[in-house]
Amino acid sequence: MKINKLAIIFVLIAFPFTWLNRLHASEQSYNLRTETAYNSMLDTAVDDAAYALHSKLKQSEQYSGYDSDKRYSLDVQLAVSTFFNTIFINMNAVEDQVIQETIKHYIPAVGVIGYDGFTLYTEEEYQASGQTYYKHIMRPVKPYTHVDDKGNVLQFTLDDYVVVYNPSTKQWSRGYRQELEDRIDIPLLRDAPLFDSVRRQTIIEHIQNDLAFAINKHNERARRNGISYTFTLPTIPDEEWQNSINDVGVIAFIQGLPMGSGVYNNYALGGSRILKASLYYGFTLNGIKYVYPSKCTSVNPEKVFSSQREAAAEGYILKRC
Amino acid sequence: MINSIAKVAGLIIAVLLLFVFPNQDLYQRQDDISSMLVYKCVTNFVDAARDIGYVTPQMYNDFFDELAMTGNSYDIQMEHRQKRYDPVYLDPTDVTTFQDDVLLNYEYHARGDILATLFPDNTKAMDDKSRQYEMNIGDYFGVTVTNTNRTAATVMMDALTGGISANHNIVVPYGGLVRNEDQ
Repeated sequence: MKINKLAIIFVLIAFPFTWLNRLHASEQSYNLRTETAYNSMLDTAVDDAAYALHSKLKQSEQYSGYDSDKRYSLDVQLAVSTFFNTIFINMNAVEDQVIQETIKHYIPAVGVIGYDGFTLYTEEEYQASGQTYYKHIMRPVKPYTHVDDKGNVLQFTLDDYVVVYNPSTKQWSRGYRQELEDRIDIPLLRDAPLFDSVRRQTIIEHIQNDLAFAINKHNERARRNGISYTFTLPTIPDEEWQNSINDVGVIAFIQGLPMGSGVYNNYALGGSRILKASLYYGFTLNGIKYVYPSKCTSVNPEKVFSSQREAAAEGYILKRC
Repeated sequence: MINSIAKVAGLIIAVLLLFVFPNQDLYQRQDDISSMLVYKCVTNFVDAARDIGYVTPQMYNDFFDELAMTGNSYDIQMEHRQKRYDPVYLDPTDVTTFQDDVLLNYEYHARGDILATLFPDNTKAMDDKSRQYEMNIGDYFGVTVTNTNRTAATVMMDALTGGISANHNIVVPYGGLVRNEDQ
């Protein structure tokens, strides 16, 4: 019976290990699925927010007459509330104020990259009627300013439009770089590639500094709320920054959200590009109406449609090339 | 006599406890880890395709190679449901019978269609535009990966239980709407 005893001893020793192994494996797979769900939640929320930015498509009056499509007055408040709504729906917290506030502690900052400035939505301390409140509020817009060696102040935007203050002549001027280069004596305005790289660097630095500051500040408050996680601005590859400042957009962070034995950390950058709708060209062949995507044909169409649905509503049958 | 039967029984139990069950458990873990890797690959591939709105041969090859790293063979089912609006005609050859109505249909493209675009019967370069499989915003793109070989865990489980179970130990379905069109 010796071998039996050996087997039993082996089982006694090995069983805890295999059991732990099994627990770890199931936790890993649970984590993986939760992470995927959270990733898609954050992506959807940022996309929704970026979409909401543009939902009131009206050009701000300050810039009326200029035809840059990046230049819309953004509905920042709506974008942020859309972002949180989507998060709450995904977290099943639409009606639960307490969970909503708890989730917000894990979102140190939501930023909106506007045409001429950057806005943050973070938790702030403020006093009203004798009481101190900690609440997420919208910060004022911070312009993308840059001071050159001679003390000239340049306020950049997401395209070539720039506002310049010259301290020696005490003069403000605004306009596109090409318009200003002959009128104002600033070397930066004459050098288009340099102007672009300085502009991009300035914008990225502004956003990074603001975010880093807000996230650091958040640490302090988070600890009071019982979150023992050190929030830091994650390293975001330079390429992603370059792409994200091509147009107005939204950036959001979720950090330290507990998940099994680990924590969930992620960020999402969402742009709100206006996509050019593809056109559909309508023809009549042998008495039957057809419509082709515009890229398939170069012949002059009888009728042009901006969507498939429009074409179908008039009886055109879709053909693909 | 009784002693020797007990000895044989003891030996069998010892072999089961010492070798068969631990191995079965390890193989099962191996399958769990493979299935997690497959899950990660599938979500990455599908999310990338949905984000940019097309599938390139390179993307598909990378995806395929990553799956092969698990040492199993897989059946990759892809489906693309292309959204299309069709006008309602009583007789499609007669324009006057148009019913002033539109139907929303989904045109179903399975793996064969997609692979035929990605890997055509010609010698065009890998990054040729014509080899991209393009989708539109609002279309549905999904991938289901199932393993086709009998994994060691399945084999051992069947040997122990005397059953004949199906091969499918790893099944990962994933999909969603196409969100972007970068042509």
